[in-house]
Amino acid sequence: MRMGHEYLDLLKWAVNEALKLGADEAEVFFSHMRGYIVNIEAGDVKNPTFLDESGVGIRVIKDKKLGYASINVLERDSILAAIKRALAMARASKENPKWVSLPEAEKYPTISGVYDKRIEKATASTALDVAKRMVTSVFDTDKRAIPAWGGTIIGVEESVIVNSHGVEGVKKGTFCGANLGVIARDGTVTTPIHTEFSMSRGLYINPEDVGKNATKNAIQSLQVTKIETGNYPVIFSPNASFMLFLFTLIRALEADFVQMKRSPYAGKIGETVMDEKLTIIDDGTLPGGIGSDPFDDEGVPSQRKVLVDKGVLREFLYDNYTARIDNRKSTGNGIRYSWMATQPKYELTPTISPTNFIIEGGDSSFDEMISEMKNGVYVLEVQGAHSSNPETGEVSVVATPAWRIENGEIKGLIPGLMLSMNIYDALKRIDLVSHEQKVVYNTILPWIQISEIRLVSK
Amino acid sequence: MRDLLQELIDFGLRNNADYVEIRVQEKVSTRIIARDGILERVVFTNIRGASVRVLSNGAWGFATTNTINKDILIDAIKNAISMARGASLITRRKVKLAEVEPKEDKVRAEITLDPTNVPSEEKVEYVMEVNKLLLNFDPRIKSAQSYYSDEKIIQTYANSDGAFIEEEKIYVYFGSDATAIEGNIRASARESFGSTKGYAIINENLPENFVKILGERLQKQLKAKTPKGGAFPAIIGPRVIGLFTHEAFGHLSEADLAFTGAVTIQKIGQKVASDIVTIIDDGTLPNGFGTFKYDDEGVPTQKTIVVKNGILVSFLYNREMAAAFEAIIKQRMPTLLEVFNVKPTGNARAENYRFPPIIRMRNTYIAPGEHNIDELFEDIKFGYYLVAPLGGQANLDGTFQGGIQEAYEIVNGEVGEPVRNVSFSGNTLETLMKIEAIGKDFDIRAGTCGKGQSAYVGIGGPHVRVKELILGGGG
Repeated sequence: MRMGHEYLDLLKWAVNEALKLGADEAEVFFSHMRGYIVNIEAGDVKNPTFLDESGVGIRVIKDKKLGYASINVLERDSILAAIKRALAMARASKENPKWVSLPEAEKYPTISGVYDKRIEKATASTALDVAKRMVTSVFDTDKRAIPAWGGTIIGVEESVIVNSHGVEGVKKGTFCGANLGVIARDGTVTTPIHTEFSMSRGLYINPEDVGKNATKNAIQSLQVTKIETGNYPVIFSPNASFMLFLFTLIRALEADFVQMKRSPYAGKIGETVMDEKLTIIDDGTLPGGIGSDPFDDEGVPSQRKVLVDKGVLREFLYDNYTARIDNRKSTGNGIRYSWMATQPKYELTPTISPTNFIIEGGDSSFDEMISEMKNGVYVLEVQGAHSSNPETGEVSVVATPAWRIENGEIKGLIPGLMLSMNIYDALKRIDLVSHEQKVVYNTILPWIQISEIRLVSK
Repeated sequence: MRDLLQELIDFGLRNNADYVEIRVQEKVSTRIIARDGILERVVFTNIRGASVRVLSNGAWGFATTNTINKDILIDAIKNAISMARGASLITRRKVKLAEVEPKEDKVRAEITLDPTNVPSEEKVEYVMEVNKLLLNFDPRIKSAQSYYSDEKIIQTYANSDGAFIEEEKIYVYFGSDATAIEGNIRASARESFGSTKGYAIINENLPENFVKILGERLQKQLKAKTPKGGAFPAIIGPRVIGLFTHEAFGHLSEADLAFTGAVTIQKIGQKVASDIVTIIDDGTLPNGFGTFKYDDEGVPTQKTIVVKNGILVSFLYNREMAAAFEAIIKQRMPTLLEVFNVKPTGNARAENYRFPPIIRMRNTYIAPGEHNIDELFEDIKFGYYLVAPLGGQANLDGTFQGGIQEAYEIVNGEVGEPVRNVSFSGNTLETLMKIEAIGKDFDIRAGTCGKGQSAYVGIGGPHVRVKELILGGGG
């Protein structure tokens, strides 16, 4: 297998060929992903998988008409055919009057902690071992618990980008992740799934903790209680917040959504849009960050930017296209994104996505938040967040698992608890923010307590 | 190709594999996106790759590559065998496969117009026309996105039992979403369709008709009121009952999730729904988005009855889970084998060559009943009529949640005013028990289901009346 730097020449050749064939601008992106995945299913280790996938994605512009093509046969004649396809797509397209140009060449930062040689050298047995340790730790913790699903991934990904404005970049990173969903059964009681995970750019995950923590939570949920329908203070775990924010707050901070005037934050830069306890940062340069890289997937340097500063809206996330529309520079958020990175990057086109989306920690500790709660609920996870409305902020989910807290004590699981709120209004009445934060995919989030949340119980 | 695959299979069998299967795929696809009257992306993709899956010492190993040549594929088989042997040392349960008759077949997609033969310009025109019509439908519509995609996949499948199948699959999908604003009220809605019948589905959906559905949905939402929260009688339309059947019940009927501990494991051969409910997962439905001839283990697809007159009579299986359930039920409750199916149902599906096949639904629906739709509404004094869904999710303990984008009040047996931001939730089996009447109508739609990998499915059914459904909303 050729190395990333060796692909630079091939990509430069491809960009040149595209220009020779009549493109005004051209970009060629290469990605190679190699790694091991092991699933956990029905209490057992399953389907160890070796994955090795590479290909190129081409973007050409002719008379402000854009065409894209991708291919995973890396011979020159196949790439040439793909360039011609991209040009044919551009011809079939319509002029985009908003198009300005592809990104210009810039210097890239060096990001530490995103590559671990041990991962590149790892074998299937490393992934199998992590999965086995997770499963074993569940059974060792409590016999009533079942590791229902989950898995381990260890992989290395390399990307190369060249465009006709002199952008040339090579990046390589490693990733290691373990996740697990545990249910508990006792007699006729089956708990909902309790999810736990650990992820890192190096080989620094702790599978035993993942298994143990998910199991402890699932066992706690065997104790069942009730709550009257009404308004309560609610503590949202980082897992729960992640799901809610992914389909609402994060989307609302993306420039394309703002430019379509769908975001409630459109036109509100400089205004107080949420509680002053909230500061939100997107940082593509964070050492060891899950979403850290020297540059994004269209060759723009990664950067750190404060999106919300003590409740005041400061910045949106931009890719190159939306940035040029607003006559400014991209924030380095042009990402070839797929949910859980299940599609190879070369097959995708750049869209706006956060790098590391961080909500800064606050003054409280999680233990204090629980112990000082008189009558409220701790929501560990939510179900149905993807049917939230990112424009209006209307959220209606099942909070499950969710625990009732009374006088600082966990009273048990409230089955089938429905939670409704307008999330943009809710973010204006934050009670407490924990100083502890947790990495949830490419977000880093604290525990957040919000007052007056509407809960509907059976 | 056949000789190469046979050679690879033989190599695997000589080197400690007890079972070998190979999938080689080529995919050609076009995706188009327009936003607010601007054509943003026209994307062509041509991808090929292969995967090998082996069973060795009772454990699976799986390897995938996009370099299709003999040496690389031999390496992939070695790799898969070595992983399987590694896994076999730590798995608790040995994998056995249910017997199936190996098939040899060559399947062409049954279509009237191959989308890969339609000029990209024509597809672009369709997307742009819908997008512009939407923006012009009502001055209050401020933003609209439209997206088209087609995929043509040719898969060659071979396994060491002697199956050799080449199957072509063609998918065409189109959708739009839009936002309307009036004063402080914001409404957003979406609509889509998809089919395995080819590009003809586009020609059948005239832009103006499609836009009218979405545009009027937005207009109704703008004047809609928020619903009362609580338990009410409800009429659930085909698209929402389809979502419910798929999300809330269908996943619980997947044998791997049942095996894991979903509530259905305790209900084998027992009553799970009211007597009038029959639930089907059908891989044979003409033009269905979840229709195909062979699954990704080479097993013929079928029309599987999962619930018959309220009784759980089958799970959805792959070969492994069929064998596992047959063994368990034989051992623990053999009399149930008379009423409960444990043969493979052809539900093993993989998103593409990069994924091992897992148990997935196909076209899932409640069978139509005896009533005219009007009869269902009669004698409901106050309730809700749920027409179009947003999405839903279920948990293994049987709780589900669904979001609704088009719903109405029912007042004195008549469809009343529109309501917005409705969601419904509850316990799946309790809700299935509360189904008290089923319409004789039927409609099914294209959908995509996520379970670690995505799959094209059909969701639908008839109108259904539920005695009581828990509704949320109102913020």
